[in-house]
Amino acid sequence: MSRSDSTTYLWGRLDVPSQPHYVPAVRRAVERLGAEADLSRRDIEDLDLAVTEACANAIRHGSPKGAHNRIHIAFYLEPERVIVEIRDEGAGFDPNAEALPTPGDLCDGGYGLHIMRQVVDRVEIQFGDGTTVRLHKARRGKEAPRLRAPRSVRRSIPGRVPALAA
Amino acid sequence: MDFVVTTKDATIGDNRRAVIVQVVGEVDVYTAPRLKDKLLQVERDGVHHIVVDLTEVGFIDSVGLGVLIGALRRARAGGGTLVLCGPNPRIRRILDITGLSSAFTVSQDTDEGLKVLEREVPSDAGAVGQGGRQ
Repeated sequence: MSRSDSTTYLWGRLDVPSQPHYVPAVRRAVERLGAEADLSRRDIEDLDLAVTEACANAIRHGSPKGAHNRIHIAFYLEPERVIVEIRDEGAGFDPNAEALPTPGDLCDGGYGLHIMRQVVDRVEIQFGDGTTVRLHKARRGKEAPRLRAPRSVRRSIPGRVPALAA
Repeated sequence: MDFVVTTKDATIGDNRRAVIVQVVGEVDVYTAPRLKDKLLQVERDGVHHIVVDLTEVGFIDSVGLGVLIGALRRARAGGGTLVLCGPNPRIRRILDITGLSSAFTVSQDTDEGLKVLEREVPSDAGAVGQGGRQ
């Protein structure tokens, strides 16, 4: 899932073994990215949560060789949004099969994708060469000047992009 | 912040055993198994009246929530219940998003949590001795 948009800036990559103890480090990277993108604290927390859920899914469902698999994470900045891509090395899953469990049933799993869809503006899922989950979070706060797109690009963007449906 | 889970014994009602499980740190796919182990140990000890103190928890994900839900289910099956204490707005938000705020009883602090346990637990459940109701 390569990014070809000329206004997209690859902020960083993380490539870690598919093991739970790397997930806090991924969150710390999300927090740095969010701060640089001038996201509000709430938006950073939401993106943190969504990325954690995607990593947990990658570890639990997208790593047939367990800790021998890796999780590939890419962080992108665009003038109007932040995008985090999480790719695992699994065979994929049916994103429509995961209905939110009924609270009264006290299910202890099955909430991840629903949470992601609630806390970011858009969730894209792509299969092939593992499963890639792409999380979009709009930059609703003021833009960080040093990360702004060139003036010519900014002029071509008519105002803020409204929040996309999940 | 390091992840730490500690337990503190308490009693409710007619000398029924209860426990306050204090959690410090982030509860996620990495740390949740340690919380689960502690809660299973509490259950093996025969205690089904549980307050989980989340006052010092800054973050929880769905794996951590699943551990709490599983413990609530087992506590109820054992004749008790599990109360969440002091969740921050971030944790309340994930409870709301998942609809699980309707499954858990939430208290402000551990004292209130123990009172909730007394109120919600059947009077003949889990009694370990005789004593006057407080």
